[in-house]
Amino acid sequence: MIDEMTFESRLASALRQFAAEADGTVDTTALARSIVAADHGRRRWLGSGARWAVIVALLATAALVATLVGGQRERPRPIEEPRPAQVPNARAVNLPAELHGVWRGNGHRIDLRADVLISTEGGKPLPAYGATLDASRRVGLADTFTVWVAGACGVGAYRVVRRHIDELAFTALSDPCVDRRALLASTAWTYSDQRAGPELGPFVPGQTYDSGIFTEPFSFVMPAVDGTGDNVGLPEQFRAAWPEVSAGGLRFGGPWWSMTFVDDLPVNSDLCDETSPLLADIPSTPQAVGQWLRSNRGARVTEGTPVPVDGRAALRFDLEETVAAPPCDGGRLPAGAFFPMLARAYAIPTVSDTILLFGGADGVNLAAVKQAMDSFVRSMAFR
Amino acid sequence: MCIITRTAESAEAGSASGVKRSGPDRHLKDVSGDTLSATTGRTDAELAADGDDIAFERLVAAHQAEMVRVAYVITCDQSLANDAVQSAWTRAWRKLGSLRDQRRPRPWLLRIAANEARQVLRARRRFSVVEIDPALPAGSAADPAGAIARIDLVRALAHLSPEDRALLALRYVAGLDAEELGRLTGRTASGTRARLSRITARMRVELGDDR
Repeated sequence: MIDEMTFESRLASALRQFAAEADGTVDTTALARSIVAADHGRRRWLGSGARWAVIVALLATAALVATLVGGQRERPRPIEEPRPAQVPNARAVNLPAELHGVWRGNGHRIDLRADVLISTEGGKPLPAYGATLDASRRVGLADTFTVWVAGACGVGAYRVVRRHIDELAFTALSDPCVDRRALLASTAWTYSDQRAGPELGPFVPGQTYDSGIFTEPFSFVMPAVDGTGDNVGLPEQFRAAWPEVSAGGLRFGGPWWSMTFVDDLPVNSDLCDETSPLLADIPSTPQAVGQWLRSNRGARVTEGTPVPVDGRAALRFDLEETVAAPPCDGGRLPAGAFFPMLARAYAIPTVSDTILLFGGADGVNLAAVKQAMDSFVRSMAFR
Repeated sequence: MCIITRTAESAEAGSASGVKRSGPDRHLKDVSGDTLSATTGRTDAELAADGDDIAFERLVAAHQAEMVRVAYVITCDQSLANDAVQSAWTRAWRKLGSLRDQRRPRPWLLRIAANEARQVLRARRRFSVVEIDPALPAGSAADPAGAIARIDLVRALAHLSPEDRALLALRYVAGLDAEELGRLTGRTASGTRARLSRITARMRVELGDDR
């Protein structure tokens, strides 16, 4: 115990020393004024009673004129046709979902799913270096997998190590292409922020979308979240959602929360132990999902609560990490799908199996996100 | 145990911009940096929530440095920390009215700074490529034997999730206790202590500290 305390105090001291390096000496008056000034225009416009009175009067006049001119016709209603989420068709490369996206390094970028593996920083493809032909199925945080790359200078094989979450390193196993080898293997490729492209969002609360990619697609209504109290940022996060589409599912989320559909992905038999054996897919019924969730060493899982989803008997589970057990990080679920300690899961039956919706948030936002998830699943309608 | 400070400048009462401004006033500053108007008995957070920009300036001056320190431990990057804290102040200005305990804004502000730091990291996806400056800053050479080396610390931090770094920063840099952290993160105090214990144990492994 004494030893622990000693380490803790040394750690605290080192952290404080490190923190003291931070230069916080900005002109705080200027900073505060710039923030107030930036916000003031918004407040002044919204806060002007006279301006609102003019707007209301104009709208009322316009409505009166429209009624007189148009008679008693029924007001047009929004068309309830689901808007497609427009999930792009991925190339048929057997690639771990965590590796999707653009990785940058040394003036070039790679996209393992693009038609050409390497392009310039400006996006110009370099066809000589080819495209990814194949890759292994799964990769963890620091696992390796091999990728075969085709190109005008021949097929090359590489082992790729994924360091932490955002860095790839290539090692040439065999590649006759000297330039490609030098380019791929001499660079640390870091993940480039890939916000949703214009075709993927933002998802507007209240709008209906089509899920697209699933075997049994469904429509859903993007929930609105009324953030209150200390829920700083949550409404904005929903309005400017950060959806990610992976091979195994569909994800919405932001820095402090996420909702991820998991389907047709191998999962650990123990959700909290990524060294436990892999199951080929999530269990096929909601009840079996409950058994699977509960048979772990790191999280307390509630009994399943029935939740109707488009007339189907789905089950909802709340997960909370237990104090005594080792940390639970979701095993090898896709990055970001699982929030440690504070999470909720829905097992929803489909015609062929069961899809799993995982959601979570930090403590402050959890209640609002749980409410949004309930709203989300209740809006789901299978085609 | 309060000390009396004066506002840095005489403020105009009211302004053409419509933003409220507190007049010349004495302000009592407690050890946490939260100030109290001697004439109105209201905190700067309460005044700022009502749109008092001078009170907001005092609030920024009182908490800026500590918020940057917390954000720096999470981002390990000065410019990202600055970005995060600037965003945090923008949020704070807009959300002060929703702060439940406006007499104690410090934990709330620190949490916003920590959350913004996490957001900046996730947005830029940079936490695994932290540039480690091997040169020790001035003064570090005199570290006592047994002290954790800066470069090791930064490397170990880079292996933690932003959430865990935030907990470490709020606990050991800002000095929030488990109850305060629990309130901020929606966990119980014992759950927070357990989490911190795990993070500390992990840091010990990462730092190769086997003493």
